[in-house]
Amino acid sequence: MTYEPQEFMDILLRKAADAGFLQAETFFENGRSTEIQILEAEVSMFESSVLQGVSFRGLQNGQMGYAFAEELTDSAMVFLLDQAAQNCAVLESEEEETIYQGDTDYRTVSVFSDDIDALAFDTFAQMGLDLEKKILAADTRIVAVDHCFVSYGSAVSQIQNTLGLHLLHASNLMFVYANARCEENDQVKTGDSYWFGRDLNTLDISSLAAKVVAETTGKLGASPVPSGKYSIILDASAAADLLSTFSEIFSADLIQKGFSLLGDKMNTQIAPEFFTLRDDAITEKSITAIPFDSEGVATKNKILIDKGILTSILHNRKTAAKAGTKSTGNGFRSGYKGSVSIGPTNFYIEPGEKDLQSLFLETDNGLYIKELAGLHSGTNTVSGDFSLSCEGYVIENGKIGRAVDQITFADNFYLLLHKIHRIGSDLFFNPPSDAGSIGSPSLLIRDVAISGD
Amino acid sequence: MLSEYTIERVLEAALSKGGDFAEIYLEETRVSGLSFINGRVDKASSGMDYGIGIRILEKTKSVYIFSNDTREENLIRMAVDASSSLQSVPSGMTVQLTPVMNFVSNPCMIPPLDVSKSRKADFLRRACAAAKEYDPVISQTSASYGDVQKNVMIANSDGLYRTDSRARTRFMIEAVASSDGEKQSGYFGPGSGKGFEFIENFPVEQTAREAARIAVAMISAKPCPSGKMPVIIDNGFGGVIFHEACGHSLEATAVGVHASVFDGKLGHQIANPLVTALDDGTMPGEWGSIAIDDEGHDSSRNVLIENGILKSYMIDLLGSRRMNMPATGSSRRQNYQFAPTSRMTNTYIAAGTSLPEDIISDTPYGLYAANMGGGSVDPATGEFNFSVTEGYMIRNGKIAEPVRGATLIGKGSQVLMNIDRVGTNLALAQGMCGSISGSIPTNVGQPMIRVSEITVGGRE
Repeated sequence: MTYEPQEFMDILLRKAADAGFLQAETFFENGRSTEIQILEAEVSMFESSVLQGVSFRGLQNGQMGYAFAEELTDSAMVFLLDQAAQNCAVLESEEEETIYQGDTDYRTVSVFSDDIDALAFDTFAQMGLDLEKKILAADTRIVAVDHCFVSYGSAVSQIQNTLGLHLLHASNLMFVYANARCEENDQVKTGDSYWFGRDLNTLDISSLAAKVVAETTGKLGASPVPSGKYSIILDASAAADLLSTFSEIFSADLIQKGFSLLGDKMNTQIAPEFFTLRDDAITEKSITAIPFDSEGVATKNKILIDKGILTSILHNRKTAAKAGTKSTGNGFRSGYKGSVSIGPTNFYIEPGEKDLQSLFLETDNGLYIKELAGLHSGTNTVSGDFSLSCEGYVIENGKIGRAVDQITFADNFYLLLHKIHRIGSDLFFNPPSDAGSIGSPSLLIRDVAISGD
Repeated sequence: MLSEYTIERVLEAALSKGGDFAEIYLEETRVSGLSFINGRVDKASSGMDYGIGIRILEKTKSVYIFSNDTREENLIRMAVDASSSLQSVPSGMTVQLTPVMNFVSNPCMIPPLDVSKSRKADFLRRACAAAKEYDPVISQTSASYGDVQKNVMIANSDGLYRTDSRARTRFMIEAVASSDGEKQSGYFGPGSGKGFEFIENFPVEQTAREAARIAVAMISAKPCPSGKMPVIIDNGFGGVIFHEACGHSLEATAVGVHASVFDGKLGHQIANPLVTALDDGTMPGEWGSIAIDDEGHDSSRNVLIENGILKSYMIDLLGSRRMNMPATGSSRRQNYQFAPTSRMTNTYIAAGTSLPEDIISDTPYGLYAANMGGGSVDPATGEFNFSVTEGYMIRNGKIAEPVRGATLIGKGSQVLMNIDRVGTNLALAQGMCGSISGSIPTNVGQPMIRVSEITVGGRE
């Protein structure tokens, strides 16, 4: 038989005690998604889902074993208890992982909008069709809109355990995206832009279309620059991408196990004195907010790098116990399939005072890097080394010049932090990942190795 | 699993308000994994995926609905809702399934589910120990093991009714070398479309020492130089260059909507005549092999490029409708949460005639890329990148000093023409490939090749 979620969790936690678990916890997620894709003035794809999944973790022999399932049946219950026990038997963790009774207070957040939850198929289709039409009409050099979609997703997660903790968090988000292709003089270029949010009043299809067109046609005429050392402005979104990739070096787990070079840098200067990095789960600057982590620990506002000095790292309960400190509320799972690990929330570099135009003037001559490619492969978070394909523009006499492509930007993340010369005022958050969003302003960086012609 | 009667009713419901083709993909997957950090079992996981995807096509429009709730009344409701979204006219089609055909993509001598966790752990313990003992500068080790047993059922309104049993096993080892406040890492991740026998017969210690050797070589390496130069890319994972520079651009996902640099190029020379390349999902026991694809059709061996001439694309059902060409058994997806699309299986450049030692001795100056990481591509422009994880300079026809990893970039259409040597030592290597139908296991492969000029993204 198939159980309702609450009934399933109640029975599972009761059975866990009989199965010899000293502590037990369930993490349940369910969600709904809808997406429409547009191609050549029609809805080419409609996608919709209703999904659920449950993770069980339990303590036996001093080890915390996990298992997950996507069915809420008797056989799934047997599977979860049996597999978690088998996993407890093989684990050799030196530090004990335990469940948590919860905090007395949690901040309240509002990250679920009934308005976007109620939107109908026709509204999605109209937005997408309008966006594609406006992009194609804007410029004769645009030959196609290869990807255009409007999507919606909602998720509810629940933590329940044998210490009496029972927490629930619901969120939803809408996303509108288009990628266009343009051609001129035998050169093909693609470019994209997107909108995400919960308040449709902030979605302007015309201005989104204009952004897609500008991102795409702006690349025409691009060619490499000679290899050498350059001053660059790393655009806010690209800077956030790079920061996102290296955010894991702040994980206490990787630091304790020796896979991050931040281990021996606590309370030392690792960035310029005008550089401050925060991890704040609830801030009006970001659209994502979460009151507690996947262990039920209340999230906090933390300064990780304070005026260039490394002052804090990200902990879950297990790493905090090992370090003799308190969890920072960063014990997140990547959904019910993952075990409790460490992840950032809203993780961002604090903005400076100068706008992008002032940064161009200050750079005088150099490169404006707008996009990085190959972040999953061209970066090594253990060494800090990276080498990435990138695109952007020349900066000449303080102004944007011709487009640049087929170049790479290579450095070491730890060395790069010291080369940051100025931080812009244009703080930008990339689309959310698990528990938050990664943000950065544009960064003026000196003496960067560019490979090209 | 669902009864034949239920499947037929759901398929008919999916066509009740419109659509000319309906398909069901039902999946039950068991996954298990273990990871070792610094010689101890750090994580042990187990899970069960279960869900269904219902797809409806009407010409080139598609609808895809997926859920974990496979109760008949829910499936019928989902199917009718999906059909309604087409806002079309019903065809009145009835569905009659043909007798079921059962396939086994990956016959296992030792089914991974039958192997105890402790036996799996022993194997990782040996790997970590071998990597640690390789050299005193090895400061950290990490190893992991994962297996997947996936059972799928695919049925469609044409009457196709097939099941497939798929198993995969993979092992990964990473070694970290530390010196003077710096760290470098070396990595290998061999995998197979076999059972646990793959792991039992695998040279664990040797592979672990190879990962350690790379970390040690790179900790003393200087940054790589920048600029355009000849690059020799060794066999195995070096094939990632073809995967990125060409493979993705030959998928119907891109070609079917004219968003590929190789659209309209069948019969044209797109690569140096030395280059012959294939995508072959039928290779027994390989990581990317499948008996049937995720639309239920037989997997096949497709010659993509023969002596530099483009011979075939990789095409799924939707792509075949868009391109008016037959499908090639290339439809794949990560799981029921993705509609299937054209993807690669085992994709490689065939062996040539140059001896690897001759390729090196014929190169006065350049970069020798001994081991590679992953990469990415924009199929519409052909602009690709992939990373070198172990590199050496070549000076006067000899392998000289090690240089730290750098990314290589270029445009697919140019780099394929610039392959001017193809070696004899073909080997395949395992990777996970990400695209719109999710992350799937694919093999890349090639013998040693030389590219006459490519941009090397170094730091000097």
